[in-house]
Amino acid sequence: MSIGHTLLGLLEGGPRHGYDLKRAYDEHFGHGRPLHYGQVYATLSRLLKNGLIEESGVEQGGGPDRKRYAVTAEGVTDVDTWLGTPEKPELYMQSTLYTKVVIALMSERDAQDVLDTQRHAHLRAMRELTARKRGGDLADQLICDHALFHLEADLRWLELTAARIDELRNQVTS
Amino acid sequence: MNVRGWMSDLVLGVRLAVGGGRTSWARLALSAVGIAIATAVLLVAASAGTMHQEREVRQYADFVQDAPVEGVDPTLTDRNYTEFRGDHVALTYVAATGPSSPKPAGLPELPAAGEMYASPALAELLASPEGELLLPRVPEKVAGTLPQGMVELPGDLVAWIGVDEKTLADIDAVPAYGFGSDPEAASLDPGLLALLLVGAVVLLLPVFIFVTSASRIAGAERDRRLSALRLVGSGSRQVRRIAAAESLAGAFVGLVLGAVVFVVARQFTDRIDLFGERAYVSDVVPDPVLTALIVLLIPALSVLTALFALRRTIIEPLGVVRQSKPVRRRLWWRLALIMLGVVLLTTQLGAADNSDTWAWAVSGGAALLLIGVPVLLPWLVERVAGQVSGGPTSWLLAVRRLQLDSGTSARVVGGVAVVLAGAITLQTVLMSVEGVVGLPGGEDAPPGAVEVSTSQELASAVSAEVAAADGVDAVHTLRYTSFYEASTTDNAWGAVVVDCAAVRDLVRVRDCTDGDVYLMRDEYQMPPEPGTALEQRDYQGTSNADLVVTGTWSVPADAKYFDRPDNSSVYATIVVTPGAIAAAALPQDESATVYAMVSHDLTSDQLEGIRNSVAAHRVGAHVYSFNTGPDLDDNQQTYVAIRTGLYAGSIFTLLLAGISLLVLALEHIRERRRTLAMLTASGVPRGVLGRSLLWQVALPIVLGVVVALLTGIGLAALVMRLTEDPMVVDWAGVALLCAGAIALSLLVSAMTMPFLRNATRLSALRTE
Amino acid sequence: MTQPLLAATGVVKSFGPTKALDGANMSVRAGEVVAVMGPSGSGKSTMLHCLAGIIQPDAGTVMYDGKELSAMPDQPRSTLRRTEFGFVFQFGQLVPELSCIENVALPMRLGGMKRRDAEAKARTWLDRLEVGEVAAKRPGEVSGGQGQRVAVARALVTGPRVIFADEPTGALDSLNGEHVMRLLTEAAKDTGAAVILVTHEPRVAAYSDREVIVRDGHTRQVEFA
Repeated sequence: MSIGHTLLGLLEGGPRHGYDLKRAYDEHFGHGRPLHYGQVYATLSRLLKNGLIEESGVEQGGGPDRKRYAVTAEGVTDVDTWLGTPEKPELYMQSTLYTKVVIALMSERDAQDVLDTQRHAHLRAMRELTARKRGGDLADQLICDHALFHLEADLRWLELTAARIDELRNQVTS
Repeated sequence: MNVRGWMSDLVLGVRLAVGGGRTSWARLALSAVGIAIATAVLLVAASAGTMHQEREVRQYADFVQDAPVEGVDPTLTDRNYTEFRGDHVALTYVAATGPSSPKPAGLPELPAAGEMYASPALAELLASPEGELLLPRVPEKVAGTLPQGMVELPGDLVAWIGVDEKTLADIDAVPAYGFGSDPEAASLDPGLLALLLVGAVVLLLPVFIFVTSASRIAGAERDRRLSALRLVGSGSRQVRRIAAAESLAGAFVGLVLGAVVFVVARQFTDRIDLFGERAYVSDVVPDPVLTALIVLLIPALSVLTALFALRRTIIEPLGVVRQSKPVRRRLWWRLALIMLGVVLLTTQLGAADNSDTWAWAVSGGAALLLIGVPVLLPWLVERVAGQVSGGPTSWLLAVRRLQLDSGTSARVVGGVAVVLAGAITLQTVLMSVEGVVGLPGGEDAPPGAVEVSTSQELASAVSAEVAAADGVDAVHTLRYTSFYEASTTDNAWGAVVVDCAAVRDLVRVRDCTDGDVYLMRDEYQMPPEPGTALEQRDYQGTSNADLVVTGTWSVPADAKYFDRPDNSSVYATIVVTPGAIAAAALPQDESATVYAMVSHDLTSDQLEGIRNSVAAHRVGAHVYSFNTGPDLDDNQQTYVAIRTGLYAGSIFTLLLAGISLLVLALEHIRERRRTLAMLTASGVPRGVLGRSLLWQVALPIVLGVVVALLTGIGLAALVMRLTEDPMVVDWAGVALLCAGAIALSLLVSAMTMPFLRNATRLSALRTE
Repeated sequence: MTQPLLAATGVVKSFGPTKALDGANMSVRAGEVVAVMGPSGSGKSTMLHCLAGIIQPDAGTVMYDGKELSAMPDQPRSTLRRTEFGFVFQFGQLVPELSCIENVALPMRLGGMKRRDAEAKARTWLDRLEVGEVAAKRPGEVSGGQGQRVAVARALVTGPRVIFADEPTGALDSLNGEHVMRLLTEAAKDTGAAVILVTHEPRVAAYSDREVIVRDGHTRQVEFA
C-alpha cells in the first residue's frame, strides 16, 4: 500500500501539519494499526524531495515540528495517475482499493472510475483464467477456478462498494 | 380432529375467500352468481308441483255435473269461445231454469240475462280502447269480476254470461245440476315431473360447469396460498377443508342471492309472460321438502366440486404438484352411459305407452344421452388434440396446450354442447310438430279461411253477413254429413254438399256442372265405388244396433274419382253438388258451415271484423279461423314462446360458457405472461399468439357443436320414432345455433386480445 | 477496426418518471461477446431491449447493419428479431406445452420451414448443446441447465447474427451456469454471431471479450488494452 499517495490525497483537501495527516490517516485507514510518526515524516520528506508537496509555512511558537505541507500540481497529477492505474488483480488487495476509493471521494474525484478501472483489470484477469480453463485439464480447471473465485470475491466487494458509494461519500466528507 | 379445529379451518377458509383482494372477490362473485342462478331455477322447479296442483283445482272448479239431481232446477250452460287477436276467450253462457239452479262456488250469483262476470284481464281489455273490436261479441254489462278460483291463469280471458233460458234451450245447451269436481290426480304427473327434472338437469349442467370454472379463477394464486398454509404446518386434509370452506362461502352467498332473486321475481309472475303463460303469485310456492333438499344439496355440491378440482393436486409446503400427465381418459364408461340412454329410449323397458315406467325410461334415456355430451367431450377433445399434427404454428401451440390440459375447456364447452343438443332436439321435435301447428309464412300453410258453424236456418243470413265483411273474397255454404254403406255396421264416409262455385274454389275441380259427384282419393281412406248404396243414420242410443235410417242415396255411376289436393280445406270423401241429391234426403237439423275465403294479407282488424259480423247470433254462430294473417292462435303462441325460450336459454348458456372460456383464456394469459412476452421479444408475431388462443377456444367449441348436433338430431330421431311422425330438422335454426357458438369463440378470442397485447407489451419483461 | 454491427448512440428511455437510460452509447462488432454489467436497476436490461429493438428509445438511435432499428415499425422489427437475432432469458422463455425439440423448431416453423426440416435442424442443435436426449420432453420435465441449453439452441438455430442473453445463467448453479456459457460462447464463435450478455455475475462476464458498464442510465465502455 502506498502511504505516499494516500498522504498526497489527504493533502488535496488543504494544507496540513504532519500530525494532522497522521491523525486523518489513522482515522480513515489505520484500522487499529496507527502510523508511526517516523513513517509519516520519512514519507513527507521523500514527497518534498520529489516536489510533490511543498512547505506552506510554520506555525509560530510551535512544538517540535509545526510545519504545514501543501500538495503541488505535480502531486495532484501523481494522485491522478495512481487512482487511474488499477491494482494488479491479486489476492487481498481490497484495503488498497478502499484507500483509493476514499481518497477519490475526499478529493472529489470520481470514485466510480476507480472501481470501473479495477473491474476492468479484474475481468481481464478472469478472462485469461477462463480461457486457460477451456483448454486445460481438470487440474488446470480447478486451479483456475480457485483464482477465479477469489477474483470474483474482489469484484463482488467492488460492486457492493459501488452500490454504497454515496453513503461512503457522506461519511468520509462529513 | 375435534369440532373446534374444524370450525377454525372453516373460518380460515371463509376468511381467505373474502380477504384475498380483487381476484378473490371476482371468484366469489362469479361462483355466487352461478349458484344464485341455479338456486333460483331450482326453486322455480320446486314450485312447479304446487303451481300445477293449484291450477288443476281451479280447472275443476267449474266442471259441469250433468247427471240429473232430484229437486234441482238445472242451470243451462253452453261452453263457447271466441278468439281475439289470437288469444283464447272462454265464454260460458248460463241461464237459470228455476230458483234452485246451481252456480259455481266462486260466483256470487248466476249472472242475469244481459249481464256477465268477467275475469280481471277480460274486464280490463273490454274497458280499454284495445278491446273495442271484442265488445260486439261480449256486449253484456260487467256485473263483477271473477275470483281467482274461477280463472285458471292470471292472464286468461274468461266470462260467465247470463242469457235467457230460451236461447240456450234452442241450441240444446247442457243442463248443469251442480258445478265443481275434485281434481283427479292432485299431484304432478310422474312423467311430467321426470321431464321437468331432465329439463332442470340440462339447464343446470352449464351452470354447474360455470361454477366449477369460476372456482378455477386465479387458481395458481390460490394454490400458492394453500402451499403457504402447508408450510406453516397445516395437514393436507386440513388444507382441503380450508379450500372447501372457501367454496362454501360462495355457495352460501349464492344461495341467499338466489332466494332473493326468486322472491323478487315471484312478485312479477302474474304480470309477465313466461312461455306465453302467467302464474298466480300465490301458486309459486316451492315444495318444502324440495326446498330443504336444495338448501342442503347446493353447498354440498359446491364443496364436492372444490374437492373434485383438487383431486389430482397434491399440495405440498413448497408448492402445488399437479400431476403433469393426467390419466388418459377412458372411453368405455362414457359410451356405456350413452348406450344405456339409447337402449332406454329404444326399448322403453318394454313398458306400455304413457305408463309411469315408460315416462321414466324415456326421460331417463334422454337425460343420459344429453349428459353423455359433456361426458364424452373431454375424451373426444383429448383424442382429437392427440391425433392432430401439422398445420401452422399457431395451430401447433393451441393443440399442444389442449393436449396438456383439455379437461377444463372441454368441460366448459360440454356445458354449451348439452344445451345445444337439448335445443336442437326440442327444435327438431317442434319443427316436426310445426307442420301441424301451421305457422303463417310456412311454405305449406293452407290458404287463410274463416269458417262459421251455424244452423241450417241461420245459414243464409250468416252467409250474407260474412260476405259483407271487409276482407272477405268469397263465401261458400257447406253442408257436411255422413253416409253409411247400407247394411254394414260401420263403413262410413264423410260427405259434403256444395255448389259448383265452392267445388271450383275449395276442391279445385275446374269443370264442375251441377249434378256432379266427386270421390276424393287420399292415403287414409278409399272412397265408395260408384253405385254403392248409402244411407243416412240417426243413432238413438248408445248401442250400434239402435239406429234409424233417415234417408238413402246411391253414389251415381258417373261419379268421378279425384285425388285430394294438398291442403284442401274440404274434409270429406264424397263431394256432392246439390243437383245430385234431393235436399229432402238430408237431415234438416244438421249444422251448416259458412266458409269465407279471405284475402292473403288479411289484417288483424279485418279478422276481428269478420268475427263481429255474426256476433248478433251469439251462441247460434261459432267462428273458427285458420291461418288468417298476423295473429297467432294459442297453440302457435305456445310454440313460438317455447321456441323463443329455447333460443333465449341457448343464448344465455352460450354466454355463461363464453364467460367461463374467457376466464380460462385470461387465466392462461396470466400464467403465461412471461413466456408470451419473451416469445414476442424474440420476434414471434402477436398474430400467431392471438390465433393460437382462437384455435384453443375454437377447437373444443367446434367439436362440441358437432357432438351436440349429432346428439341433438339423434335424440330427436329417437323421440320422433316414439310418436311415429316424420322428422323435420330445422336446419336454419341449427345453423343459427352453430353460428352462435362459432361467433362466441370468435368473440371470446377477440376479448382476450387486449389482455394478450398487454401481456406481450414488452415492459412485461422488466418484472425481474 | 471494423464497422460496428450494432450501435446505440445517445439512447434515452424513460418509464414514467424514471429515466432508465439517459444518453447511453454502446456498440458491438460482429462476432464479439460483450458483457453488459452494472448494479441492479441501472438500466442493463433496458439497454439490451433497446439494442434488440424490443422497445423503442425515446431519443437517440440504434443502428443495426446500416439500418436504423430505432426508426423501424413494429412489423419489420419483429421479423428482424426472429430472423437475425436470438434470445436467451433467465427462465421461462420455452413454451411449456411444446416439447423441447418443438420449442427449438418454433422460430424456423414461424419462418415457414417444413416441420420435418425444422425438427431435423433443431435436433442437430440440441445435440450440439449436449441436450439431444431431452428432445421429446417438455420443458417442465427437464432440469434448469438442460432447459437453458435448449433455450440457447433455440436462440442459435436460425443462424442469428446477434444473440441477446439476459442473465442466461441467473437461475442456475455455477457449474451449470458455466457449462451453458461455455456452450453459448463457443457456438456463437463458431457461427460468427455477436453476443450481448447482460449479467451481474463476474464469472459469467469473464466469458465475454469486453464489458460495458451501465450506471444510472449512462454507459461506460472500457476500451483500453
